[in-house]
Amino acid sequence: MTPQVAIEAHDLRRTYRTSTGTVRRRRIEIEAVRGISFSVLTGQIFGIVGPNGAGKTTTIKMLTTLLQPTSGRARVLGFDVVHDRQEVRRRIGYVVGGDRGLYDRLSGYDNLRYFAVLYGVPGGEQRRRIGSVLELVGLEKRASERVEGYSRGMRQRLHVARGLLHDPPVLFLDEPTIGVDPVGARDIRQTVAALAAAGKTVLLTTHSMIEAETLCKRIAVIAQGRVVVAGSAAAIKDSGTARAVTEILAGDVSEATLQRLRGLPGVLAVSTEVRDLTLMIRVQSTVSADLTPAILKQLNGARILNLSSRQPTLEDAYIELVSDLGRVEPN
Amino acid sequence: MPPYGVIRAGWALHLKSLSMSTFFVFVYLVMPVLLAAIAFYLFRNGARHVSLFEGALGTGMMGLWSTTLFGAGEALTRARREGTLELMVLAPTPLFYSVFAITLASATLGLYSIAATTLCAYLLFGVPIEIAQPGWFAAGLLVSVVSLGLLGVLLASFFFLYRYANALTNLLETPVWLLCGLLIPVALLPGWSVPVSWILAPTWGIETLRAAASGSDAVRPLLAEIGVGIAYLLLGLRVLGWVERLACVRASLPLA
Amino acid sequence: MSAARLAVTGGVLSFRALFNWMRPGIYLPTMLGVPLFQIILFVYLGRYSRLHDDAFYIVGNAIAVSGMASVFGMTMVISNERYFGTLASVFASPAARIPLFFGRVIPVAFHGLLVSAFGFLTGAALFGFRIPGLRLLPLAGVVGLTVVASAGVGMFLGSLGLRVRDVYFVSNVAYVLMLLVSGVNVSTGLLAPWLEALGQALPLTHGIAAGRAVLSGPGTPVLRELGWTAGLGTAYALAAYAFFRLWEIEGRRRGSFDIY
Repeated sequence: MTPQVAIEAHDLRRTYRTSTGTVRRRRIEIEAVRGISFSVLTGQIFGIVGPNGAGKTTTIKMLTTLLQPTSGRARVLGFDVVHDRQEVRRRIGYVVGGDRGLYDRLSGYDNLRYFAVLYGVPGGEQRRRIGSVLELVGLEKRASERVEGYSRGMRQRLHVARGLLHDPPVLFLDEPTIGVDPVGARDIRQTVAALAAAGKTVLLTTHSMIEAETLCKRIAVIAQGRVVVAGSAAAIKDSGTARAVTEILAGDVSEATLQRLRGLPGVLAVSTEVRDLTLMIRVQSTVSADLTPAILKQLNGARILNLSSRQPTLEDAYIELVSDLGRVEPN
Repeated sequence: MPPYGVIRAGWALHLKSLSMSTFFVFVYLVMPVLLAAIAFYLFRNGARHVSLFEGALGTGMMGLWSTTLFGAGEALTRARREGTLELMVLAPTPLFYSVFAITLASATLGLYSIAATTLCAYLLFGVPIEIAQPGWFAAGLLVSVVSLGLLGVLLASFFFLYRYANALTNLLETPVWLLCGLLIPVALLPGWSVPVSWILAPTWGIETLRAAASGSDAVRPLLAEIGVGIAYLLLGLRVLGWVERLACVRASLPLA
Repeated sequence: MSAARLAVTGGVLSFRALFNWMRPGIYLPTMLGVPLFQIILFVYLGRYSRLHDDAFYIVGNAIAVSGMASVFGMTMVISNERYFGTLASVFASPAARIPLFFGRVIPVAFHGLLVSAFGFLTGAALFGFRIPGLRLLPLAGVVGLTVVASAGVGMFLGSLGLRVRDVYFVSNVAYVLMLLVSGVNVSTGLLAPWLEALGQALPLTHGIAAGRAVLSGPGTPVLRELGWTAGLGTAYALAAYAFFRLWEIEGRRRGSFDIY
């Protein structure tokens, strides 16, 4: 049996028109998505990662029928997201991340009841469906409480439950673990993995590379409205040019020193991150040979607290891919 | 010695932010003008010939009470939501003065109401604006704004202590209009209303404005309003001192 | 079947979710206190000015407060979707839009009837207002229709509220304006012509006229006014639905994310 394609996007584009200026209004066009293509097989978890404003949410809104593409085509289970909207809506669950999007004054149960009605879950089946999705996300004990008293993690789990009410074969999760504590995020990830194991197709966006790496069979890195690279986590790691990463935790490092590090042969990129009173310097290099002596020589005079070398991670590859394109303005 | 600088700065800040809030535009401008128009039609066509100018002053004063009432409620709700309430308690300035700055600002908006209803009477209904004693009239406006600002502090402390008391703001608006005789003489109301009206500043405020406009004795009601205002001040200082202490002892109660 | 369930169950749930005054501590002072004092204020104002009799103000205001409940209630149950950020989830569902939208009138209308009944009771308790037994049912019918028609105005404002900021400013102004132009306190004939014309365009004006006509004896004016009430209410509701759909289509086409 050949695997079936559940979601396919073909050269999707989306332009926004806005105007700026108060006196002399000028119309400007923003290309949020500039030709995105990918396909997701049935039962697969597909991840979209990218910086803020890269076009992740725009892409997911087009696939969930909330936004009309400027051009290009997309199908979900063979139904066109523009022409067969109702067919698509019946078959997908859409989970948004964040605090909003729930009726705070209703209980968790009533929130689900409302959406069960909106999704046409038959009356007799409603109670059973709501019970089972509540159990799945572990909210059955708190379901009768008003949502306004829920923690961020509970809200997020309720969002997931809502998306599953009508037992859709395809799920879209827009940053499902954003702002959730590590244990809560792990629970949500386990739920998502279980859903995929049960045959559901999942498309999720995330900022967490660990999430993408552990959950997703395939990942698309998008930036500035385009797919930069797509494939398995391993393939994306390989697509990065870095072969080694040296991390140095140091104090008293001057900008000139960093410039000298950037100039070392074989060094691809040097990024820094302030940690308390010290600086975490990350040197990505192409050579597998040990750069440590050369780096130490350049750091002469700085206080070095720690130095280590390791293999590049998905995050390293992602940062390299995305920073090549320059920073993208958040939307 | 009251910290005048703090009051002035707080007053200016809140006056600006409140006068731009659309809800307050409704409270200090739209509502008084529309109520004035209703009163004008009733007074002009009714069998009793009530002066439309008095109607304008009355509905303007109604606006002054509404801005004070909603200002006290809104300021505290907003401070609570934005988390600035704790900072106000924390600041070295006694809470009374920082709250007074807010309530004074909201009472000041009431001047717009009086201007708006009078202007509406003049422009749309051709009512002449004749004020026999402009000096006493101005004094009446000033004392009304200050004493309502002080009354606002008492209201605000009530909202401080009882979280949902804010819902009562809607409930307090009309009864005070009635009890202060702003549009209808208190004598028409049940007998118990008369003594209640004496402790409410707008009662004396409207009497001062009417007397100053018609040329009768404005000094007596003005003094009464000042007296009531001082009573609010003394009570307010006590109550807010108490609120402040309570805020520290039971951190959750007033600040939650 | 599922359309009826969507309208009724969905309507009731959305009322509970989106109606701001759901808590009894806020509801009672607002929904019962405001009508109570509004009636007292205008009855006394009427007595003082000696323009109309008590009954004029009691009927006018008791029907007007139901209009208030409808206008505000409807505005809330539509435009608060924006406040809660739930519009995207609702638009992403396959639910049929007509029952989804119009079902929300049901609880709002029941609620408006209740508020109006309280208004008439206030008039009876405080000012000795009496309704002849035979007129009670026709009057209830008139109020019922007025409530539903006013909900049409509320729907209209609510749909605007999905795109316009500060919709409550608009509904506050609309309500107090109705007290002036709808013949609640001033008979419409006394108003300036442009105010009178404005009043004629509101279902509440005709509902109140019908209510007064019912009490003064049945006849053709009742039916004519009821016709206007129903017609205007329908017109506002249809315009509201058109806006609602327009925002949905526009949101998809232009990507006006602010509405989600």
